[in-house]
Amino acid sequence: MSSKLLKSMQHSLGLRLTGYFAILTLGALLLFAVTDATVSAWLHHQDRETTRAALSTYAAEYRGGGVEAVRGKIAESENQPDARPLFVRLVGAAVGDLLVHIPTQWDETFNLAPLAAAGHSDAPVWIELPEAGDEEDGEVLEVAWVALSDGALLTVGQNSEGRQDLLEEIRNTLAAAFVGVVVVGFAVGGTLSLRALRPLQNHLVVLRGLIATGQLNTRAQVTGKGDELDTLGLLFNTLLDRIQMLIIGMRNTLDNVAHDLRTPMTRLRGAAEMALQGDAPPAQLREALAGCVEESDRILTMLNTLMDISEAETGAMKLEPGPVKVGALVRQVIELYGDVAAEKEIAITSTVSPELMLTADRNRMLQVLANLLDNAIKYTPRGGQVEIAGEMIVGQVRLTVTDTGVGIPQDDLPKIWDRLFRGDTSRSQRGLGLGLSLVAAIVSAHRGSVKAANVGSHGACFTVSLPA
Amino acid sequence: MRILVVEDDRDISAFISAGLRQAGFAVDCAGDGDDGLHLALTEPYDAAIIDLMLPKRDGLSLIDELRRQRHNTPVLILSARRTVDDRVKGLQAGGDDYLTKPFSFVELLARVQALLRRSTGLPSGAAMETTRLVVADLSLDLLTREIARSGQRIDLQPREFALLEYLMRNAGRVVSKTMILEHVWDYHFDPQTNVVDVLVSRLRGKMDRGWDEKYIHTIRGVGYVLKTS
Repeated sequence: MSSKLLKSMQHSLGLRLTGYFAILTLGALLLFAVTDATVSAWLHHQDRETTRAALSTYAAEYRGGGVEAVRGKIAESENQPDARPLFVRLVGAAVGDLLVHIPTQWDETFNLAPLAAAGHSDAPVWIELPEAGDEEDGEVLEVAWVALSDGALLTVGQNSEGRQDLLEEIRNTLAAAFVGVVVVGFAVGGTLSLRALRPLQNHLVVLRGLIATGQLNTRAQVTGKGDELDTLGLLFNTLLDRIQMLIIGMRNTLDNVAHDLRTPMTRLRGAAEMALQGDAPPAQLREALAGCVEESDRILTMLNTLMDISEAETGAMKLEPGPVKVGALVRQVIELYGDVAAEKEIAITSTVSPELMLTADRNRMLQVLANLLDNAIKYTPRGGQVEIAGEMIVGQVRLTVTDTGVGIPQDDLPKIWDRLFRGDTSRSQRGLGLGLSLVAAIVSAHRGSVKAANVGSHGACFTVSLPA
Repeated sequence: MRILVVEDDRDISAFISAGLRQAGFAVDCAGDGDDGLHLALTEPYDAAIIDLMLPKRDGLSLIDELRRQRHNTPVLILSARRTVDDRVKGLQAGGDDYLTKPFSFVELLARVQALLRRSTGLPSGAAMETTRLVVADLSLDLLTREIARSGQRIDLQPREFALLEYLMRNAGRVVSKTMILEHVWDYHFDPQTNVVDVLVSRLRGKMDRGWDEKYIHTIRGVGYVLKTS
């Protein structure tokens, strides 16, 4: 399956590269064709200009000195090495041919018959005379004639061989260049596509290995060039990191839950077993059963809390953030604990800046405050005080719960957020030892932070900072 | 009142039906989804308690089929899944309420009674319609908020009043701590604390202390009940 996918991907990529190559080739071909046509037209035009110039030169000579002057001019230009050899013919009005000059260097003979039909014309008349015989190299003699003042016809012509030779040479050069473009294009394109595909191939190898082995610790190669395939590799690795973190988190949670549940399960089992032994009176049996139910409730609460903690820690907790009025939240939690505090004669006070708002999951925030307040009341002796404060400090909502309790031993400060940690003094207090871990997990799921500190010699202060 | 219980775990099924029978209901049990659907379609039930993980046909598809055939028997879903998504899915499929395993039986009973009350449109007892709740010599006036026992006035704090009202409305029925927390404080978490015990003990101090007969009883491991002898 995966190799098929790889092949089809290569195919489509290869197809696209072939397409680009074809466009390049066609483009070069078009460019060369345009060049050829332009050059050919330009050469033709040059030739005609030369012929036209010669026509007026010889006409002037004829007017000045008659046939002899023309003959002299021809001889003169024949001796100039860079002058173009020209065909010249002069026909008198009544006497016929006065002069026919065919340049000696021409080895072709042209069929001059069409010239016999030449008639009177003031403007130059252009015709092309084909080569005599069966020669098929496309050379022509292009001539133009004009009527002179005495009725004579002056004809000047030029062999197309010169410009055809030049054109031939240019075409040869263009063809060579075209071959070069194709070869270089093919080579560069091929190399580029191979090079472009190589990192992709590497990614595919890694991916296939991953699927085959299920080992999440392999990573795609990242060259650091920062191109798209590199970015793909980076994203791929980030994804793998996250998956791995989740899986490790889940695995740890499973281990922890299994471990943490063993103790209450043992208590539960012990209570039931004790009740089954001997002949206990019914009242005692009822007591044991009630103990079992209570213990199982505790296990359930613990399980739920552990799940909450791990969900929050791995980012799997479903939060429903919304605007939360901190004042109302604090009032609600104080209401919840009002009786418990009153029972211990603990005064709860609150100072929350009015209109203080927070964007968070309201229920979870209630849970955070409830756990902190629960904790504070537990560790504060009769007649103490607990203060809840909420304020905005440099763009963060800071909630503090300060008590006048026993404080936290310095050694324990870093450990209190750990799961199932309970300070020595709290052995007598009921509780699961999960409250503060849940607080920390929920707060960090909200991108906030928690802090605990001692206040003077008596009391602890828990601080929750959350982005507003 | 006749209730259908569709649950594949025999022990759970047995304890639910025993409890419901004790509470005065007629109960039929089905052990898998197909049996459950068959019974639900052929017999007239006032309510059904349906587990989600069932052999042959799962609970959601059972409820779905039931609703497709225009049976609107109220359904209480039982499930071991506790996330909000699962709840929503169950209620969307046509369930009327959702209870997570493990649950306390008193809560299950309270929810079934609430379902029946809703579907029949009848109040749970005559007390619902009056503005006065009376249990033996104990009376609570919902309008004046006056409470008296044998004519002797009792003054209560608002939360104590809410708790007493809740207990009196459920007189003779056990209510769990979770139910009290939800009802009195609208708090839906385990607060891992003794909030409820404290409130109950305060209420007791005001209305049972000094009297020979105690009305509020603790059922250890289950909850509290207000009853007279």
